[in-house]
Amino acid sequence: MNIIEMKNVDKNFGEVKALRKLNLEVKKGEIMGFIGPNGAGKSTAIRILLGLLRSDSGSSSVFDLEPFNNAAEVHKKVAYVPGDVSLWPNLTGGEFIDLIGSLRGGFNRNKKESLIKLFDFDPTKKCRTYSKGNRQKVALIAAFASDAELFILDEPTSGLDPLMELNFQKCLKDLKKEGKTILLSSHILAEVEKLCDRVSIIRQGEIVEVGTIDELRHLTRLTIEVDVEKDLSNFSSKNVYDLVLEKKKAYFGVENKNLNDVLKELSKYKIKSLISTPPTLEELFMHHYGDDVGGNNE
Amino acid sequence: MNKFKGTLILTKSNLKRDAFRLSIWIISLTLISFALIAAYSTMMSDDTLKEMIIMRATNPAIRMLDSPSPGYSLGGFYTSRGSVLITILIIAMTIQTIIKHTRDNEESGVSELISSTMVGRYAPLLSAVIISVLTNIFVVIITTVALYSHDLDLLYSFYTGISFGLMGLFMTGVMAIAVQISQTTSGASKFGWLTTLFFFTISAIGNLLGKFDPNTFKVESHNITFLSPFGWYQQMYVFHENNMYLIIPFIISFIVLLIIGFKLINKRDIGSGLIPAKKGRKDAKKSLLSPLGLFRNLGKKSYTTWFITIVLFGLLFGFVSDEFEEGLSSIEGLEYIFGSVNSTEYFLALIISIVIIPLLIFYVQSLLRIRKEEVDNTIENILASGVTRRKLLITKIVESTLNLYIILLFLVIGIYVGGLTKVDIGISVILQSAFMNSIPILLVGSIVILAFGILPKYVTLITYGVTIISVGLGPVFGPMFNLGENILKISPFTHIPTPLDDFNIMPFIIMSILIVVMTFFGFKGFENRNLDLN
Ligand SMILES: Nc1ncnc2c1ncn2[C@@H]1O[C@H](COP(=O)(O)OP(=O)(O)O)[C@@H](O)[C@H]1O
Ligand SMILES: [Mg+2]
Repeated sequence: MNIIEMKNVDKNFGEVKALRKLNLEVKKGEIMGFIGPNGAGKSTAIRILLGLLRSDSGSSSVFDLEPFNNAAEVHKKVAYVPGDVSLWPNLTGGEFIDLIGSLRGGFNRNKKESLIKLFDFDPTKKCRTYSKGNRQKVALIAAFASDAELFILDEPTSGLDPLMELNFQKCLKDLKKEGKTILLSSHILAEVEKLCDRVSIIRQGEIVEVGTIDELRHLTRLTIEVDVEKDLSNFSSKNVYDLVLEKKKAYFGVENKNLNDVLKELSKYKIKSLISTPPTLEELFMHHYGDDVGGNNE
Repeated sequence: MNKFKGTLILTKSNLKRDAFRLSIWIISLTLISFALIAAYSTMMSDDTLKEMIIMRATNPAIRMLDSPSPGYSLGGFYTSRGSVLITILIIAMTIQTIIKHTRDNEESGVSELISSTMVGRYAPLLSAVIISVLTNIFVVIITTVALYSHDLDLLYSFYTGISFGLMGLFMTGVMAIAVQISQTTSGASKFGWLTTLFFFTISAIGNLLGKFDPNTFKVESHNITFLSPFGWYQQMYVFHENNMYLIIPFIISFIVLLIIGFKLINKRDIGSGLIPAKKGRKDAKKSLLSPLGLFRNLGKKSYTTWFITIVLFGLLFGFVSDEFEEGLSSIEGLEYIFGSVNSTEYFLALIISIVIIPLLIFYVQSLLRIRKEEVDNTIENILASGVTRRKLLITKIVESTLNLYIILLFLVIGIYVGGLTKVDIGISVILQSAFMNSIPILLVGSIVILAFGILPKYVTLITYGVTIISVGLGPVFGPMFNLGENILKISPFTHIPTPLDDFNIMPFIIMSILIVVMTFFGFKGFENRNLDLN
């Protein structure tokens, strides 16, 4: 059963085509990664699902309801963390969390307390004093303390430090165990890889790839920087891309599935150190679609 | 460590950084001063000046906005006609200057650097005060030279300059406190302007209630004007009476304000206003947990400020009412505006139509708050949490309207209590008059709602446009422009009957229909449009 469905959705802002025939499906109980570079249309799609924006054409449904005209009803079952969390400067974080919780209903006070501890958050400060990360924490705690069925999270971790990101991932796993459905947007593929059952990749307002992480392995190319002991000036391999060689150093790209083979070949030169970085989405797109790095803000 | 340490260095560097802005102000003020005195001196040759003085002193709206005429002379006319404009400019300059060298610095983090190194805690404020005082000394010089150059008496020209500069001095003191109390630049500036508005209104009322003597060309103001620094400088009556002892209240209040300002510095951290220093609530009160609770919370400060200001004015009007009849007899234009009946009716009509103006501004500002929520993206939080757009807008309208009528009620009580024993008007008559005047307020409000629904990008512009038009063409200011009755009818306030016996139900029926229709389409628009989010 699909909790979210968008079919051929178009949305223009004047000249800007934010969404073009966008299709998106999220099944009950899954974590769907919604990935795309900045300006790809993620927030726009999400705001249509929440009935904050009207689509120009195509159809959308959330819990089988058209979201614009049934916004309030849909929201009773949805918890939303906006991409850019805006708070009322004179309310404290704690007050904000309580307010949002009681507007939606089904708010769990004990959960709020434990989440505040988990995220190491001070709820007594006025919202105007919070940093981006803290504002995100406010919205995350408000969302996770609810008994919503569907969680729509728009780039929720972009201001969190690594430790807090781990806590965030733990919360998502708990929600999944409880059978909740999650739409998680991000502009970094590697960030959501570990969490998502499936991933939809959006580029210039269109979905260009959908599938499980395994199905999308061909997209997950690593960039490797390796130091060796022996001279590797003559090194070559059919499994690597963009190879740059120095005397005892090499830079190259490799697909995940070939990583083991390449490492075997390299081990002959005695590996001293190795750094691997997951590609940014922009780099991937450059490879697959010939985009300029930096996205597509047309 | 000496808390004033480094003031001199800081002042020098601030002056250097701010030289451009300050010179723009000084040049503008110079040009305006010379232009004004040049323009007035051409009127001196014939009887134009006399006619002007009589016209301005007898028109109630103009008399409120002018400084009271001290008598027949070019210098006297300059202070009466030009001084309000010039003092307002001086106030603007002073507000900007103090903020620039205190709050702005803090917001950009400069003063954190400053105060952590070699500069004392009091130095930034003291340096701002010094710069402000210096610029106001310039104002004294400019004015003196401008007037003297048109053959006016040197000493009196100097007195005139002093009277202007003292207003800058007073505002410097006010702003020294404002920048401590307020969290933000805009908050401090709002504080400055509200204070200005408050004191200006007091002196305006004092002038309105004064007496004009057509033999001496002097407007003798009501004594409440002495409650306001505008009154202090105006009552100097330079070129005629030269009451220079009025320098004393300026000096005293400047010193007191400054001492308070410096004391407040100790009570706060650099970079934060006084208010947020205390810890907030961990959990929300029950009363916050609804859209209504939220709007009440968000509007609390503005509501309280307006409430106190407006009710105080009600009391004040009531209080001065016994001398009103006397005062009214010298204001010839009143009859033209309010028709001809007895003066208690005038009194009522006049004060209600004056105090209704801040009420209108309160109401449209309160409604506009929902647009601010949209622009700030905070509306997303509510509208994604199970609150319908309809409910949200209804809540906003109900909250604003309730507050409007609460203030109105207390205003009426204020007028009544203030003038209890003096004026022979029942509270129900005041109430009726106030209530009738509230209908145009609702009408303007419904235009705001309509614009919010269908033209959200322009709602602020439309709101202020409509507000200015309906106030400007209303009974208080409208007659000033000699535009003819039909144009004044554009303002809904023109249609309120004075006296009450002339009551005609038609305008109210039409206004009510308009309110309903515009509100309806406002809702339709808002419920069907994209949110204008960032
Ligand atoms: N309110 C708006 N007005 C005009 N253009 C907009 C508006 N909101 C989004 N856009 C444009 O639509 C495109 C998609 O934006 P968005 O959905 O915010 O992307 P993402 O969330 O993936 O970064 C961008 O090109 C953006 O500039
Ligand atoms: Mg976004």
